Amino acid sequence: MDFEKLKTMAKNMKINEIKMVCKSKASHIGAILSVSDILAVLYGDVMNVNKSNFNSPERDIFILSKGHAGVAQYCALAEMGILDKSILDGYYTYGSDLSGHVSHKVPGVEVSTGALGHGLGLAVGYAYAFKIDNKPNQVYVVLGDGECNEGSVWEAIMLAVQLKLDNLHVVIDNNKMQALGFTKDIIDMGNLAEKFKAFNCNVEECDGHNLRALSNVLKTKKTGVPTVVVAHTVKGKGVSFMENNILWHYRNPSEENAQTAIKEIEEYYANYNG
Amino acid sequence: MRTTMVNKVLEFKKKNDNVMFVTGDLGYGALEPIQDMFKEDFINCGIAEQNMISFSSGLALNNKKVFCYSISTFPTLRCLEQIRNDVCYHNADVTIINIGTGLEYGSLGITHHSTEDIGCMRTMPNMKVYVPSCAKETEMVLDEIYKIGGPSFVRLNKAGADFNGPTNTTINEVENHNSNICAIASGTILQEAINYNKTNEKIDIYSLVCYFRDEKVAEVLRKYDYVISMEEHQVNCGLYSYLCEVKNKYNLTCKIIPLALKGQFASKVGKQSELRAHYGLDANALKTEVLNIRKK
Ligand SMILES: Cc1ncc(C[n+]2csc(CCOP(=O)(O)OP(=O)(O)O)c2C)c(N)n1
Repeated sequence: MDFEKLKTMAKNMKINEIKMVCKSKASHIGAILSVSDILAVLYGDVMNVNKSNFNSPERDIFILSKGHAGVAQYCALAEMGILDKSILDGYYTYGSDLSGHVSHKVPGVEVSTGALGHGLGLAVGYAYAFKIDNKPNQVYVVLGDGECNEGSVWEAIMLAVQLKLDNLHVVIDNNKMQALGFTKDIIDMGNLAEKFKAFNCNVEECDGHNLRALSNVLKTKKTGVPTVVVAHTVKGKGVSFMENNILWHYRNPSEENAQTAIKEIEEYYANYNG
Repeated sequence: MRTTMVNKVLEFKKKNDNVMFVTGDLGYGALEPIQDMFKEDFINCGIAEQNMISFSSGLALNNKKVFCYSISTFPTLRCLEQIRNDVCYHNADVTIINIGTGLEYGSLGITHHSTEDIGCMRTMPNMKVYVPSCAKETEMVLDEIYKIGGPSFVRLNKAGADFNGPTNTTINEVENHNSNICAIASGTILQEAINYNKTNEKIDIYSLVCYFRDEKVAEVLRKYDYVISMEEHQVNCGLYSYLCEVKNKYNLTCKIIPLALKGQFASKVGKQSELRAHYGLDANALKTEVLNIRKK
């Protein structure tokens, strides 16, 4: 693991994300900052997806099931050199392919998502297809914790366990918030790790903003069972006025907000050693 | 239109304590007054639309009058079978309040475009489908639903079209210029017809609100040689299909021309107005159709 590389990647992603969401007057910056460290580690350190193989059959598959954080995937793809950085400027605008929710019209994106609760089922399909074709490819899928309200998530995990899909890696961006507030006040999922254990998955937990911990945990697997990583995160991570504030699920940052936010992100990574 | 809906629901609750409001983890910055007033009669079911609909039906079958709220395709397509079996077959008093329909969420992408919902809802037995174009129609529709009950679907956008003179919940005359061409719009896309008339050969304009009082619609169709239908929806099963069905049922002779999505996803990225223009649903597209008719 190249810690400095991942740190730079996560920082660059977040700065671009803030700029893009500000410029386009889009929503979901809190959800985007929550998931970015996870995506930086997956793309930068864990998955076999890169500039030269992202269209080839050897690549690993990544699905962002919480598609409202699409900007984070676009920025990860740009850091990987899969997307030209200039394309990011078109985000949200007429003539571009970069819609708010992640779109498979964009190079490097496997599937479009945005309606929650679809990504895991798709991932299980990919993973089983690799299994029966005896292929070594791994499948990674990132879900929100609120998204786990959807019954389809549990339908999919039951099938994944039944099919013994050890090539399936599920990451839960567990920021304890959803669209109208804290999950404990809406649908209290209790201990998500225990729930996935009860479904017979291999379950790992870690700080979802600790790049070293993420790098370790995201590489674990166990023969014959899917792995679920419950990554404990903070919605709006790294920007003091956005952290744990549901307003930033909706509000688009003003120019001034964006400048302050970028400064805070720069400071955060300058002092960061996790 | 959303504010109008919130105020109406508050009014119903004052009249009838059995009124309940259910959301699928949506409505930030809008539903708070309902939440405050309804207390435990306001339920956030979480991000779980299938269950939200079954739950609402259960409440309704136990004497509650349920308003069920979500955005985009989530309270319709996501839970279609629950709507069919639990709501419609049992004739449960559940009203689906759908915000952010059609192409309103433009740049958010196709997963947030609700462009097949009218068709899906319209095929359900017992379901009353309403597509108001403005705040006033929304108000009248909700009053009607409150009075007659049963399964209903109300397709809304945040802001309504610029029309304040509706008289009924079926089909409203918006502009009358004694033309032999009329535009019949359903929903807030009505604004495009109004905009067209500001600078072009004036045609008659109607707003079609409900999809089940055929005779009144036939009365309008009977008056015209050409009818241009306008909808933010797929061409099959929505407004165009409905008008063709009515035309056939009453043996009418008008020619009906659709402005609608022609069996395609609106996958171009853009604002609602840009998508309307790109997919030929806007004032300009209407102008082209009128010119085509005049050339004949
Ligand atoms: C099926 C469906 N229902 C509702 C929504 C609207 N929605 C978008 S984001 C969101 C909250 C998601 O919460 P979570 O999964 O915890 O992700 P977070 O934003 O907290 O990272 C909701 C309800 C949706 N996109 N899809």
